[in-house]
Amino acid sequence: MRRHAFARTEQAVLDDLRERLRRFRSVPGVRLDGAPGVPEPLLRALLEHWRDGFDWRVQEERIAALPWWETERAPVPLRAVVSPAAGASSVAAAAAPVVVLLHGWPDSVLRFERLLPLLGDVTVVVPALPGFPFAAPVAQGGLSSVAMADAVADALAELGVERCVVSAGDVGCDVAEALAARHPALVAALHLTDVSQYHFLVDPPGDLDAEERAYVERGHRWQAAEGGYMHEQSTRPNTLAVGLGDSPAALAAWIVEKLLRWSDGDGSLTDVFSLDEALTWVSAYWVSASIGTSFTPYAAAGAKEWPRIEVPTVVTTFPRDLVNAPRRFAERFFDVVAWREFERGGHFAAWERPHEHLWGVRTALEARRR
Amino acid sequence: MPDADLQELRARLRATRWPRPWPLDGWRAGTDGDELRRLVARWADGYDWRRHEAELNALPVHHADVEGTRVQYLRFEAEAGAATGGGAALPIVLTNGWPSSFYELVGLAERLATPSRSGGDARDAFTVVVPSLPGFPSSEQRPGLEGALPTHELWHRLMHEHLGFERYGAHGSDLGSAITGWLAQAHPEAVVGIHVLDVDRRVREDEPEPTAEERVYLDALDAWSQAEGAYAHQHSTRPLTLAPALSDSPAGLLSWILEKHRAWSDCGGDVSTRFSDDYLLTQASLYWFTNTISTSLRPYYERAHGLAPTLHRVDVPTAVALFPADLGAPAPRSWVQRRYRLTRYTPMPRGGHFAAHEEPELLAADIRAFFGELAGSGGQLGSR
Repeated sequence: MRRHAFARTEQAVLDDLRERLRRFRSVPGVRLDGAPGVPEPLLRALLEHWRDGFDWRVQEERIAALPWWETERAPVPLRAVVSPAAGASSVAAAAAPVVVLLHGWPDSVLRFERLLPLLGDVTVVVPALPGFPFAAPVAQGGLSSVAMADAVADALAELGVERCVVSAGDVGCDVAEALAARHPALVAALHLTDVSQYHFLVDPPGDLDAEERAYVERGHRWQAAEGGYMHEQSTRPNTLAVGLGDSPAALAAWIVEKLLRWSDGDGSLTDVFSLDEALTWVSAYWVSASIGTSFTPYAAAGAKEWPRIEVPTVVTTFPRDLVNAPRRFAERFFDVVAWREFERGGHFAAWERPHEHLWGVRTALEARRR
Repeated sequence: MPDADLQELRARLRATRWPRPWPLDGWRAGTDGDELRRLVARWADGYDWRRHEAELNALPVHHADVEGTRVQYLRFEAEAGAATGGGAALPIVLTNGWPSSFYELVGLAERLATPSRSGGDARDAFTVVVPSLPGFPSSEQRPGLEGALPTHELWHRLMHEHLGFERYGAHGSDLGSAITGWLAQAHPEAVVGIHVLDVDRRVREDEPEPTAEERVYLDALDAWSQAEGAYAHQHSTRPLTLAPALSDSPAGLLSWILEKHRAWSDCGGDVSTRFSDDYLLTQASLYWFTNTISTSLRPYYERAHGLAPTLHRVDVPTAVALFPADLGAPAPRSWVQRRYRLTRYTPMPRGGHFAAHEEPELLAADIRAFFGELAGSGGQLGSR
């Protein structure tokens, strides 16, 4: 891999964004109780701040200052933040272990911004998953989680990484699992913040115990109540992508709903994300026009066609995450060597609770096969 | 529509920011990008809203204030010689579904009101009323969720009190089928019979287990919901999260409704065999200019949250016409009979979800035949 010069967003894109925000055509005001979406006052506050207060250039400078690298020879190009362990001049020169952090949807490498400073003693690789913000363009637009795993493996090979610990959440967990299944020699340990829902959505095991059955039922109830986005993203992604790609207000509503509902705040977005932080995450999708391609892992998802993963696995769960599996269910698919249920935090654990997420990474480092 | 609104729409269409291409082409992952681009370009340059607006304005448009809700409706007078109601014309109320509008029903309404113009018999003429659903083009949304007068009650008050019809018939499709069923259930004294294109599909605990044939039907509906029903899933759970993608982006709106017109019609994959560009763009323009796409999602949310009426039993004569390309699978006769007094069951040779537009002749003939049977069986039809 070679250093990648982070390309700044063209001014025309930002001017166009501001123009679109100015002409936002609001939805006529039906007041619905309950949770039919992003509360209108919050959406208005976000859009006003995006238009008149938020400065993408400031955020972009901080993101550009991360050590970005890009593959040179891999069949599928990959960009990643690559940070050699403190004191080492390069990844190859570092004797310290390598930790690969895999992000999810609807986020990006930014999910790990608060975790990175806590991992200075190891080499860290944070791939921008293909089809997602900051990623190298790929011919197919986006990739399935399995194809992403192969792309990550190729990039690590280019970097000279032979063994690594992989820490992941959300779509990242699908990628991590595929990486361990398809490249077992590469993965020394896993740290997951969830067990992919596809394990019960597609071909669920037939001999569930009572606790597992309750989990699967909870999962289906969650899908029915909250999973509309996933249903549309996996079955008709291109129908949806048009509106989200053409209207920044639409994109903000689609993404911020998830930031709000999946995180462990007290009902207010700003308990977890400041307006600037939420808009940075949304802007990352807007300037890269990647919302449609980020649906690829949903559209291309399927059964996990591999036996139980025999890599030592640490699972940490956070109570406000989507649907937390019981340990027994996880053990069907992984060699679970440590299990911890934290009392606070949600889907974006590395962002919301970086020290608790760090515990999972450290525990996986200790458990890794050498 | 002010010129400024038209200019603004064109500016948005021309400035559409298209999604990046995808590995899957055509319609396999949703709306086909090439077809959508072609239609968006035509909407911006070529499509003549003013001409269609003039045609819409030439329709027999009326408004009624029904208990505080302003309802737009079309009223097509029966041609002279009508005897559907036993010496006079039978009034009939037609109700469309989603993502459609009164515009879909114009051709059907004209055929029902003036059969002689399409080779029919003037005696078969109806007085046809096409109200616009609340929150759809071009009726007002009802104010609150709880306590709002349900649409079928708006319809009855419109027909009965505003228009003075003692007895009338009703026809509906999709969402309109449900409203038509609730109307018949609530007002059997006024509704002489209903003609619908689909039926209540709720499985009830207090009913006998589905038969093998019914199980096949219910399984087909479930499979359809999994494969095709994501839009309804989103509408019923998070309508307002989706709304800006459709109300702030005309391309997003067209993408959403174009896909349904293709997937749900009997078009063999080529939407243009069933809908002209101008028809699709007029439907999209109606939603756009009235900014009603978000409020049109409300019936899904209401149904999913126990805010819609429940259909227990329809005791007035019921006809079901089943168009082969309509959603899911055709309901078996026995399933319809569980909840409706089924007197006519017509599997159609062709056509789909938008039958009033796709096959207006077939549909009009079936509606005429059904209400003709009712009149022939000595039923007291019509208004005085």
